[in-house]
Amino acid sequence: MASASLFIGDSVLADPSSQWKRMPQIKPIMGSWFEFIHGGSAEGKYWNPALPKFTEAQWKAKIKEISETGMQYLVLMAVANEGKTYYPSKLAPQHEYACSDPLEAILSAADECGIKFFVSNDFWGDWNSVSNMMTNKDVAKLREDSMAEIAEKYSHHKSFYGWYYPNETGIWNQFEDIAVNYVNRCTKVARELMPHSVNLIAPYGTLSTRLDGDKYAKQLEKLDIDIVAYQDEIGVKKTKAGKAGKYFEELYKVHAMVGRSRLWADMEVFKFEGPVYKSALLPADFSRILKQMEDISPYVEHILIYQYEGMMNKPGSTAFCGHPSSTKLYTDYMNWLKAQR
Amino acid sequence: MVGDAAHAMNSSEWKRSPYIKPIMGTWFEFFHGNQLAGKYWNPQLPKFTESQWREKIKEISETGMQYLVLMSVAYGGKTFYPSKLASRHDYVCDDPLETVLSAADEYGLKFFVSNDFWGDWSSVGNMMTNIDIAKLREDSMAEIAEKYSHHKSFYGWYYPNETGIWDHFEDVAVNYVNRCTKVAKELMPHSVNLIAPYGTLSTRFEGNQYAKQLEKLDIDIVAYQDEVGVRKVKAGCAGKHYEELYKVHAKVGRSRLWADIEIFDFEGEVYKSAGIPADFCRVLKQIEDVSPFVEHILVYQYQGMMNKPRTSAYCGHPRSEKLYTDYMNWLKIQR
Repeated sequence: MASASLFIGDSVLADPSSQWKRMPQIKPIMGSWFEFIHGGSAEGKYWNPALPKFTEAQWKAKIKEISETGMQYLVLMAVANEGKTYYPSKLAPQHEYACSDPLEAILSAADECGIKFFVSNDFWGDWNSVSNMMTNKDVAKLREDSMAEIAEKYSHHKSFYGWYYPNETGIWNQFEDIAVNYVNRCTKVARELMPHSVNLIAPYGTLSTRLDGDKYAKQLEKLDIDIVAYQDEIGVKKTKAGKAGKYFEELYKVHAMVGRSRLWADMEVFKFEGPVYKSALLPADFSRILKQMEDISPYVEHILIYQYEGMMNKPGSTAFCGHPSSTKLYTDYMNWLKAQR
Repeated sequence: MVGDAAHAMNSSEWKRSPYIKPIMGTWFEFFHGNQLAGKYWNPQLPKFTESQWREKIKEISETGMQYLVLMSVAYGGKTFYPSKLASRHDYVCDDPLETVLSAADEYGLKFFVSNDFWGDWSSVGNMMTNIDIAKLREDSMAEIAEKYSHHKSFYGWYYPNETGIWDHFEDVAVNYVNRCTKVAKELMPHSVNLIAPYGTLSTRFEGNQYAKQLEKLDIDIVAYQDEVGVRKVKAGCAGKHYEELYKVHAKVGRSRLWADIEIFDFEGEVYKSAGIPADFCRVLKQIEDVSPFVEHILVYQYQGMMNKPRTSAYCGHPRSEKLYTDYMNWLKIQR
């Protein structure tokens, strides 16, 4: 322990990781969502301003920084927003960012670090109007044209692991046909373009799942998607940390019974500065997050988080984005992780 | 308490343990290749009627298990289904494969159907490389797909030649697995395919070699043997290897990580005596040990080691009823 002592000022503290016991029953965070901008400007208050100014080197540094945490998967939220793209496209003008091709920058950095990206195939319309995004033919045309364009330009990257369909399917009792049709159409296109792509969705409404009867299983069986990463809905205060596990336990059983999609988690590591959905996202305390991880670990294959950017920053990062307390969450998590190795 | 057959564990002794996964499936056999090991269940299987095979599938489904891994479709040059490629074993049931698949359809079970043993199963190297055996294996896959792939329960294929891992997957194993998968996907594009290597305790992760070989391996699921039953390690000591496998499988991002837990013990010498049910205390320790790291736990195996009391399709050691009862009592508390 002494050899790992940490000096702060003139005091000597014990290795902070020594406060943690090894907890093999708790899964580490295996990945994160990743954004070029956060759609809700109130929520993104602390990290949105930094992103357009990021240079290519900063985007690459951010990917490297994330890979150092042991995370293996990144889920790109959007390739377009408000009619403009985050990559040079023939379909729409590009957002004015300091980096001329952020998508290329992060994929090439991910190649280098061994990170695997689920690349977004949207938001080509108003992301708030989820139903319209799933059913509007013009949006679908643009989405599919962009998938073809993105596959042509970027699928040579080893890090281009698969696709993420970001229109969040809300589950009310079970997956509705409208969501099944949207997901299945996206997968059909994804497989035509990249037959070996591994594709992911992240529905909300986890606490609304109803697994009595076999309706849930029947809808899940129809759903053509490799991975479903259910949101734990702690950050949006639909339930308390430690209370979502029972839903994931039931989902574990039904996913095993159906034998189609893999079960992952999309765990919320944020809290709101003020009212839910109407204020800035802040990093949650690590003690709350650890409770969330412990609660769902037995049931999911991997835990992803929403999200590293904004909520976590390595102290001294050259690609800082987020609330100042994000360095504390990073440090707390890394101290815990060190004790697990 | 452990080993005292007179002591019936009951549900009041167990606490709910969300960190321990339930058993999600088992291997399934028409015959066990090592006849010494199969002493207590091999004799019954050829005599099973169609209704007994069906009953056995129903019985397994009642335990909550969802997946069955069929060990073999042939043995000693004869098949366990009517085939144009070889003569059939003289079993009371005309078509055991059809019977178990149709029963599995009814009870919602998913079968990984074997694509072998068309040669001497104990000569693993030869089974993986012999061109004549490969031809027979692939012809039989086509035949089996044609006859049985309409079954909803025909979930995918199992390649039963056990890949031994020494440090990492060898190229000979990678080539064998990848060839099997190529054929499997041509015949059934949506098949989910599984292997179950031994040598779990011999995995070595220093350097990048394990990840590189795993990346080359074209298989959906790797269910590593925990090697507790064959006494390579004690219950509770295999988990650290699965923890490393969890990391490397996540890093590679290709095959899913399951476990093949050995719930047997040997009556005498390892490999050279009868397989008998292990005590549930040991089995629970095994399950607890690997649960955090694997997606699902399969066991080798229900037949022989577990029997529902008074089942009409009994096969196995008399203590198998106790293992069944102990497990079901524990499971009841978990629900």
